[in-house]
Amino acid sequence: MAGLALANIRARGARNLGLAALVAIFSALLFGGSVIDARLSQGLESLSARLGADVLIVPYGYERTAKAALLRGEPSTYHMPAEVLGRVRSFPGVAQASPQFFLASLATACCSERVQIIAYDQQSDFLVRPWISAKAPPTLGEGQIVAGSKLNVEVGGELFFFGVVHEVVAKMEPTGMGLDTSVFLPLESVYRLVGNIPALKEELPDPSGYISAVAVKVEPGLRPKDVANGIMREHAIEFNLDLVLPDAIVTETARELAGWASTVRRLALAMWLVAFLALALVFSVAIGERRREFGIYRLIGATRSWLGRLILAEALFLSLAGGLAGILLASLAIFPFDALIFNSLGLPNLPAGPGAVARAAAVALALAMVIAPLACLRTVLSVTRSEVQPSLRMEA
Amino acid sequence: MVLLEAKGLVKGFRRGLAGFRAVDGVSLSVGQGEFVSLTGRSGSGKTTLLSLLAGLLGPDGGDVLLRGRSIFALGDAGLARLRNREIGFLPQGRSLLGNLTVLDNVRLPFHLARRQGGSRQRALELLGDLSLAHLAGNRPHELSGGELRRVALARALMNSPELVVADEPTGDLDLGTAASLIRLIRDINSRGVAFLVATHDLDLCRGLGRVLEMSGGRLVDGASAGRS
Repeated sequence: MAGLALANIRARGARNLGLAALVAIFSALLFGGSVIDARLSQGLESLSARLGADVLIVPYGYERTAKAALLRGEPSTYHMPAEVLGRVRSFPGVAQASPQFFLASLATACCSERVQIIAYDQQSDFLVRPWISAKAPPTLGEGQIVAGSKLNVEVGGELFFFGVVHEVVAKMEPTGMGLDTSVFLPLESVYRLVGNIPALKEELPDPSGYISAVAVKVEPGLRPKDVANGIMREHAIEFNLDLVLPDAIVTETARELAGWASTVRRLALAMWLVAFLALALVFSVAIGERRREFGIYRLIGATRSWLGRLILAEALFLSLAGGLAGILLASLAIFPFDALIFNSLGLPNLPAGPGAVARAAAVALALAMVIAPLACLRTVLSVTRSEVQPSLRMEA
Repeated sequence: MVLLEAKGLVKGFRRGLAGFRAVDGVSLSVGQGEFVSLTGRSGSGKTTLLSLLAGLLGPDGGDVLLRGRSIFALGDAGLARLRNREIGFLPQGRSLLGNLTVLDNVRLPFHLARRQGGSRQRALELLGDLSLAHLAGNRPHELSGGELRRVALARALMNSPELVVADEPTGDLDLGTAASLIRLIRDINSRGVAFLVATHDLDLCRGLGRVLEMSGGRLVDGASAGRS
């Protein structure tokens, strides 16, 4: 029966190609959306797990800039007096506070590439170190850097920034965030670099008196927001401060992700319905169109249920072909161009594992596989009742 | 020995508001290996009678017995089995499936019977017997009318039925092709396959067996001839 069903599908090639294409659009949409969703979910998990600070204190007006650097690795340079660190450290409820200095490298001859340089204090740091692979030396020396996972340089390679060559001694674990395209070095190193940047040298004659952010961990049992508000009340006006709550980034990102996933699901549902209705229409006219053919089957000994099974088999093959084609096309569209797609989304993301991809493919294929069989159900019922009679007179 | 027997068959249809009887109280029998021709003018009820005798239509009255058992007592599956294994059909018009090759068209009844293996060899033998082996890989649209009819005959014989029901087998063929088909049918009949043939072609009937004439849904008295 399989061979006959395939021959019948081939006989109405153009139309069946169109029907399979509708199923393919559905499965591509669902599979592609699910893979992207899985990738973003992985990124969100990573974001949640790796944003080790409860509060990030930044100069006023740089809240968005800090988020953009964190999520998308958009390079930026900003600073505030280092005195803020002492004030924050001594604030009640603050368990740990560690300074960072953000410096954007340039896409000119001075630098290997334009990236976000994040300098951290090796003594108090609790943010960067946990993400660096265990093979890295415990502390970085002068001229040593750690590269983000997506930077095109290997351990032992070199990158130069502002005329200074740096040795890559370790790479970060993938975070799915902007940190993957950043480089990390000790605060002392960045202060020396600032001396090589004429514009900054003028602005910051003593760079060690400046930092860009203070990462804060609050004492257990306290709400980060309460401690952050306390710091703001006390010091915001004096030092012109702003704050970033990483938990809020996670919540906001999760909301964006949920919205995105919901849109994809709605589109997939709409496409499922379009494919279902188109197939139902085609199958319902087929009973009239194929009356002669069905009559021949019946004349030479086909039962009504055999005819029904033949129609079901054709529907299943159409669905299977469409479902597989959609998954294949979506794979070809997503996997080779994932960097482009995810950079444009601007959301944290990490590659979905093979299990998640397989699950997405299985669900897309399963839902695609039921479209045609459900759509042809009425036709199958008509055929298995009494609408097709064998006849000795065949229309030409 | 009687193979097929009709008893008081009645079948009516509606034409507009009025009803009419296409078959009106027909009784007849077909013996094993016998050749029975059914003649009559168009609209006399030949095709309806054949359809009733082969279980393609249900009667309003009467019964059809195949080897003494009512075929209308069979359900859909039983009737399908009957059409597949015990009666071969040679319908009017083009009855082959256009998306299958000639060989696959002939093999189809074998597969519907869910038999295992051997269909290719059997189909090729039949096509060879009917001088069609060279067309096995062709599609029906590439064949002439006479070739199409012979392929349909091969398909009818695929499961070695005891009876072949043919409706106007030479109806749309030229004289030469029709004569060739008649020779084939005679040859197959001589090997013990019974034929029940509705036809206008009196040449087909000549010297073959009993001739029954229908008129107004009834068999004309005295039209029957003995078996040659």
